[in-house]
Amino acid sequence: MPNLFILVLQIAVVLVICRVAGTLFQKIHQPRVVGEMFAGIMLGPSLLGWVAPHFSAYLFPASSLGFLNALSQVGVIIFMFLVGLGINPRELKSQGHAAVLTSHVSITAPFVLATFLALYLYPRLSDNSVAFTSFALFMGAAMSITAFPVLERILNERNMLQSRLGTVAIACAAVDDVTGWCILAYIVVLIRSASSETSIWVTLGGVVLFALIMIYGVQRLLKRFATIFEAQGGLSENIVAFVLILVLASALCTESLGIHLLFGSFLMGAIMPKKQRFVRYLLDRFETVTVTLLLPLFFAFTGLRTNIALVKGSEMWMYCALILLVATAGKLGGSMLASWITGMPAREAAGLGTLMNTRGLMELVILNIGLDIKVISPALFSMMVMMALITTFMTSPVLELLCPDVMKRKPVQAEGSRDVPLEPAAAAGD
Amino acid sequence: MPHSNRNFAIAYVFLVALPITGLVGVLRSGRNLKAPTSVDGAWKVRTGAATGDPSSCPSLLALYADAPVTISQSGTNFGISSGQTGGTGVIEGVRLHASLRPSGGAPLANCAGGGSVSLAATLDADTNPRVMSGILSVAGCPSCESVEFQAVRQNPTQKKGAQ
Repeated sequence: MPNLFILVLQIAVVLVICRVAGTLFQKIHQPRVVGEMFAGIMLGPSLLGWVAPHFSAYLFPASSLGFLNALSQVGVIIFMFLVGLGINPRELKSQGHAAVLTSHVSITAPFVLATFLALYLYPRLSDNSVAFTSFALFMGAAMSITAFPVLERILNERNMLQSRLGTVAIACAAVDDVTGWCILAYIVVLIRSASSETSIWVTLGGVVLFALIMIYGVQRLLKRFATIFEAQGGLSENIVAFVLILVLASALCTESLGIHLLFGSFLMGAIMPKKQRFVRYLLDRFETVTVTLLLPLFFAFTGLRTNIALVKGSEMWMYCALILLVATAGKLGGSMLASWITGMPAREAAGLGTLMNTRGLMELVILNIGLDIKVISPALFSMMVMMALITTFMTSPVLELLCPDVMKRKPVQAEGSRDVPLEPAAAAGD
Repeated sequence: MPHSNRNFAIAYVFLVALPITGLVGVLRSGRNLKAPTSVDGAWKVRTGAATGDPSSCPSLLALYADAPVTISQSGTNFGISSGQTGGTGVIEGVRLHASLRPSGGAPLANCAGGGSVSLAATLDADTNPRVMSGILSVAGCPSCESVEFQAVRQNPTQKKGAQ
């Protein structure tokens, strides 16, 4: 049984710290989510555990972390559904060659550079229980991800969603995320099948079959919900609850198939009908509790697993700098080069690269999976978390530096220039 | 083929297809790399330490008698914890060196080394579950006797992912 007093105290402290940090970061023109991510780190051994170890041990006893983790994982399951919900394949199709090349390069460049880096880091930060292939592929997937929701939030706040830069960035980020999650699913299957009696081909076959059932079977049912919504202007509580049950069932299916709960919830979101009012309606139903209550718990749990003290000595800090350099060169440089080659002006191309370099919450989700399946070590996890924080933090100021004209546009409210800002976690500023 | 399409195709080959070919090469060459031996996980330690009052320096090693030890590894570095003690260490080949200190500190303050314990061990990497054996000694206490120990890893070694 959880110690309810401690659990409620933890939730209260996490919410207060996250709200305060989020508000402070908004004052320096950062999305709220960046402040909340920092707040999570502050609550962990990197700060609170370091300056007040006894209070930290009282507030976050090891025996209580399982419950905190469980709550935060429920939040991430719903969050991934909202991320999938925000991805619209039609937007991807409408971008043409420029977006196709840019999005593919923005995946392959960081991915390939990360695998080169893996050659250097594997003997130094991993151990021989992890196969090099898994390590390298994970590093590639983790570096090629883009925080689609954070990106959308930044673009929406700056009224850039309808600009060429904005539309290409959104399309590329969506392609990156879908690809990144597919690669990650493969890595999880690869790793789990090594300790399972089920053949990897059986698992992969099961995953493909599940995806086909979702796309050609469940999607039809979901379209009926959209039709009911159109006819009645809303959905009954029963239908909303049923959608939530479908999300959880889908998550359970992918977990049973040997990948991860989050793939199921992401896929469920991705196959939902994309009529803007319908999407907005579902976002309104799900995002408030998720982003104000459950996601801060995820940030806190991530912070509790992040120990910057593990990065000690000049050698370890050099690894950390290398990770940051490779991540930025691959993502920012790759996207910039590809968009410039396809005719985008140099400054705008650099702006696009900067936007694509935003990793945010999506990176934390992936890194937590990596640490859970032990494909990355605690020190590497801490370095990658720092890389995620820095690349997300640098987006707004660098964008302001590179594209001052675009960034000087008056920020708009949620109603913005499009009927429904497809911004999962918008309430949290993510 | 229109001019723009040709440019697109050329750019795609150079920026996407070629790097992917390079990726295959990297994955192949990486298979020959050797990472440090894995010691991560929970270990069950058996020592020949005499039981006694662990707050006295010579009996300090009684704290580690049959204690569960957890190792959290990051490459050649690792964190080690056992009950109220914790520390860091390094693995070089099959040799481990670590230093443990009491987290609370108070009961062991009468030791010259502040209750710090040194661990030196050799790993038998061929066994599964993995076994290590070595010596525990109290730092800064020449009169304290070192104690031999043997530890067995609780979780069996399994390679994570294909080679």
